[in-house]
Amino acid sequence: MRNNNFNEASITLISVLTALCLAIQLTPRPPNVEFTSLFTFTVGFIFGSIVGGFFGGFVMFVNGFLSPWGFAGLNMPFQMAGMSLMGFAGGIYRKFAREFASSNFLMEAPILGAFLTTLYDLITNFGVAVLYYITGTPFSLALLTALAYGTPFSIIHVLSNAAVFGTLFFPLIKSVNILVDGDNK
Amino acid sequence: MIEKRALIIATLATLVWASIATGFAAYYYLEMVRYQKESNVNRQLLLGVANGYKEALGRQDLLLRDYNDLLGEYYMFTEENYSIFVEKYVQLLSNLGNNYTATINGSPELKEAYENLMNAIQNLKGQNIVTKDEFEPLLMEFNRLLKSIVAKELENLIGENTTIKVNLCIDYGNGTVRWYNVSTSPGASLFELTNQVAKIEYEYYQKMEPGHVLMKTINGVAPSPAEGKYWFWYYWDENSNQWVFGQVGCDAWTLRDNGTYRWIYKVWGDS
Repeated sequence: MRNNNFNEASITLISVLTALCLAIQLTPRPPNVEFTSLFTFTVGFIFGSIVGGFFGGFVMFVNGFLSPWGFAGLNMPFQMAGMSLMGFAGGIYRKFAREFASSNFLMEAPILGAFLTTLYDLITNFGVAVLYYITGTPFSLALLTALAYGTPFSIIHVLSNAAVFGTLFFPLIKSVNILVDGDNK
Repeated sequence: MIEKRALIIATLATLVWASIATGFAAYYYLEMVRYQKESNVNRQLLLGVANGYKEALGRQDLLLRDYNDLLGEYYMFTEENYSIFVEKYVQLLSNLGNNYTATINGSPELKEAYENLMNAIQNLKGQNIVTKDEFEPLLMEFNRLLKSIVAKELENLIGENTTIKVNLCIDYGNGTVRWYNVSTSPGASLFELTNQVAKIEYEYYQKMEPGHVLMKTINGVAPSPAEGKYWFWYYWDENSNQWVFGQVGCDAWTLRDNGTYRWIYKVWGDS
């Protein structure tokens, strides 16, 4: 695995991942099918919670202005917080991770992906509720409406991210480790 | 013994499922509430239409009975002078006017027909001798007028309970163009729409068809024979993406939902 000192390769890799993430994020695509969560979680996993958190927040900050779905507006801080949590969780998970090749590890990735995506959606739906509240809807109704009408999108998001984490997380961290450390485990 | 790590993952999976299931239940509940509200509104509208329909048919029935009595007497009558029916006819026509005042006044065509009939019978009222040839057309015309009025009344009834949205453009030909997005009744004509959004003056030509109305002024802008400028109307054809000149009188053109119409003040032949 990698050592803790940031070297040129690490910085380059984070920059490339950021650019790749933004490119995918800004590409027209089906709603709520995305790879940013996976990249953010992976960056957190490889480089630690702090880097992962900043990575997720930064990507969502830029995405908030340039997204094909329009300016994120008031929801942007919530999106940044949600994605930062994703990166932070990657770093936490690293501490408890087992051998990469174990079958348990392969089972855990999609469930973690689904859980973190659910958390992300709850946070961003809360942001939508705040917007409703500001425009005059009573808070409880605003929260209920935002969570309820966010659910169909959330289902797509959770299922797609479970699939993305399940299939890509393991090959991705393996490749990134090779790039960063030249460690071909 | 279940491993602690497996238990945590199972708990996370359960939380995902619980969260989505709760959200889905809330979504289903809110949708049900929305459908229920919409359904109640639609039910009230239908009840309103049904009650209004019954009432309209009831009024029509009363007038038809009076008309039927008059017609029966007319057919049984064997003398030459029909003047004894004139007063009954006036009464019948007055009843018609009193029962459908709003409907008659709301339609220039019906108003014209009603006034023509009233003038004709008033002329006969002054005569000592009224022949069958003079009286019978009025008697037959009454039935046609009643049917037209009731049809319009039912059309208005639907219109009171539902609306269509249309766009109207008024181009004054001097660079001033005004757009109106208006909700109006289904079955309304372009004439009624224009009357709804602008102050108009018009001329009614009984013999001109289809449509009897010729628009004179819109918001004070009157025809200018010296310049050859008049008001013309067009509708927007979505298939060909162009304005199509209205060949019929504006009172004979029924509006459609989301239709777009234009009045333009210009010289005939100018594009």
